[in-house]
Amino acid sequence: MNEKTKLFVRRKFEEYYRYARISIPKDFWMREWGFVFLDHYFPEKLVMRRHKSFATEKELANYLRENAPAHAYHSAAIYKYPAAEMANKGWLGADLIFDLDADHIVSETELEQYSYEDLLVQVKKETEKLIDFMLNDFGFQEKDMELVFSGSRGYHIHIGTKEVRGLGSRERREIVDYVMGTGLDMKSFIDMQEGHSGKMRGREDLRLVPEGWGKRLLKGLIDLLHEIAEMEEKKAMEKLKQVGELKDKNARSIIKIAKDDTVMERIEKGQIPRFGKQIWEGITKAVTKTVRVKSADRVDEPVTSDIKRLIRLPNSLHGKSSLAVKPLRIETFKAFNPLDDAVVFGDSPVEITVSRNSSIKLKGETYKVEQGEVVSVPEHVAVYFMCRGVAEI
Amino acid sequence: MTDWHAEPAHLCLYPFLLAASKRVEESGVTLENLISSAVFERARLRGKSRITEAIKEGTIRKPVIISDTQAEMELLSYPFARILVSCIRDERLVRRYALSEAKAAHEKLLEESSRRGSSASASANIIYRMSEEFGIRMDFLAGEREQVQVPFVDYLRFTTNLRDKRWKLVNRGLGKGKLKLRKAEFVRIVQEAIYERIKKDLPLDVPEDICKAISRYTEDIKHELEEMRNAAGYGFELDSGAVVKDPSCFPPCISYVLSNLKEGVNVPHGARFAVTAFLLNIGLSKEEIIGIYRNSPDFDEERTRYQVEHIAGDKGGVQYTAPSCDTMRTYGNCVETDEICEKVSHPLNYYKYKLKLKQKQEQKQKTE
Ligand code: SF4
Repeated sequence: MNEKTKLFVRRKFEEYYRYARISIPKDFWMREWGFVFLDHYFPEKLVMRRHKSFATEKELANYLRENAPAHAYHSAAIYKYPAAEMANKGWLGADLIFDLDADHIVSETELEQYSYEDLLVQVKKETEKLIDFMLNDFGFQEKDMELVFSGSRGYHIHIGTKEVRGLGSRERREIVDYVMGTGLDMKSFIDMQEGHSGKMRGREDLRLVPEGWGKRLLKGLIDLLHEIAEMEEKKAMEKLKQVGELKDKNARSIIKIAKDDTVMERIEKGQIPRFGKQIWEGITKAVTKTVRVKSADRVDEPVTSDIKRLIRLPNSLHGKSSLAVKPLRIETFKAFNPLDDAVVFGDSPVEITVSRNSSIKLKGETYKVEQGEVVSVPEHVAVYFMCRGVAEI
Repeated sequence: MTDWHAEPAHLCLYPFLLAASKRVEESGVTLENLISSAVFERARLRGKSRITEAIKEGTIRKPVIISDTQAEMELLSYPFARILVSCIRDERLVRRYALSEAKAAHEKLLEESSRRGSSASASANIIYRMSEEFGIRMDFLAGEREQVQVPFVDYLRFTTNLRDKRWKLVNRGLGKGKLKLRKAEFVRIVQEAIYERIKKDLPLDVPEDICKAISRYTEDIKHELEEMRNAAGYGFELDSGAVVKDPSCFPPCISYVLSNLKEGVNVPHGARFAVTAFLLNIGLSKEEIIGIYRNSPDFDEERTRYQVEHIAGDKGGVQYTAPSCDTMRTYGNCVETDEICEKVSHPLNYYKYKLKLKQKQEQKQKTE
């Protein structure tokens, strides 16, 4: 991004912040803030100005207006001394933050194959699963959950109730494990009197307790078996071997079950036949894979157990996309399309010089640009390409 | 229904409760009195035995209370025990002591909370009482005496130290923010809460002159402690007192886990598996191995027995072999290696190698 382009983007960001209605987070004066400016280091080097704090909303609004930052963050945590150095801040608690980003969900090698639009669709699916976990398993109220489009390739959920504020990182880790299905043991949901005598019940069916993951496993199992029953034998074998990592013999017995109406009837009622161990494990694997909130197994998992991290300020702009970090309502989430609804800039034509091939679909129009071209595009497209490093003014 | 926690005879069995410390405060017994007055010698001796029992048995016996004086002595023995532990200033002892107190209380709670028939309401009462005491919100399920419901936030507060899979949140039926627990499971969580509370401000900051004044008690305890550690360090002592296998030849990975178990530190599942398999492979009996786990904070005899038997191949399978060094490394169970580790690729070979080495050395010494 050359200096002229940077100046243009900065003017546009300033315009935005002049009128923007920022969502001020709860207890904002106890939070640490951090910003990246459109300065001469940008975007090669992102210099984060951290350990800031604001005492009044006005002070914060002025700061944003004056500096029109490329990226704006606040801490998930609240502190006694938010502007102090990390060690002296005096941690008082932290919101529970979920950060679902496309590159946590799709592995690096696959990332290339997906377009930006596809990635957004993928990540939205995972977010829907996460919301379901939050509402039904964890019992959070919609009003306590702030759902936000990240401005780039993901969604954040902030939960700031008194209840969750005090959770330490190990407790948060358990919540991460829950939504990702880590350490899941299907046997925990089987109601068998294994207790003191060590004896199991007779030969009759097992009951899968339909609570929490038990409910998800049962539903997942039924769906999987239905899917299998409809497939051709060969396809079904392949699928089972792949998702369940099962051997031929075991895969075959599952297919047999799937096609047996009387057994299926019992399963739908929550009565599970006594499968062998391998079959159990295979089924658990297969079901878990579709039900859990996905995350490539990296350190950056969807819910962060880091209780000191920074998170994007809702309604600020994302300096790598020019899209808004947009707060959303859960009821209307299904209909949300970031490439339409998070666009903030206008339509007046701007002439740009393209430095790299690229394409994007914004507000329903597809724009395809080629290196070396000089084209006139609507302002929101121009700013987008500039922020992506695809074009200069 | 009597308010049991107001009765000294009952209260003294749970001396870490807020009501208990309040009672001690209100009794007017000063620290000065407690550490020196002849009247309280019984309390002091009991305080000492709390700790020696912790050292020797890993739990603290609950006496049968027959008189008010005895109840008072029992109650006062607890603050005195805390002073003693604090003067000794040994972190491992603090942990062991706190764990023993918590376990003893757990056992008592379990007994009281599982009473049926006419005492059923008292048994529910004790559950309510503990939930209030430790701020674990709880309610009984409608029409249920055996299961309670707890918000996940309160559950997490006290369970992240419990390593067994069944305690993982993901394996609990979580619905609308709450999860169900059998009464016994609830009491198990209370044990964690008790442990945390007891350990929290230990060691206390006891002035030097007070520690000096009670050194005749602390010296005895230190002696016991040393004896226990020597015994543990030297051989693998069995109930019978015979030393069969030579733990001085165990590889670092195994010794490490064993010492953690001895200290009551939680050991992850994978490491437990490795140790169990290792010990079975070198010929320890199942009972001996179960005995080793007895100290572990989430010891559950049934489950341990089941697991040990499973690894031993009693469940119709073959006996498992201890994992190789490669596998140990993968799961982060290979700790501080030594020179011998470089020569072997399996913990069992480490043991055999070192055993031979030792025998050779001993023979050499004899012939010299
Ligand atoms: S190298 Fe092998 S024997 Fe040595 S500590 Fe590691 S796992 Fe144990």
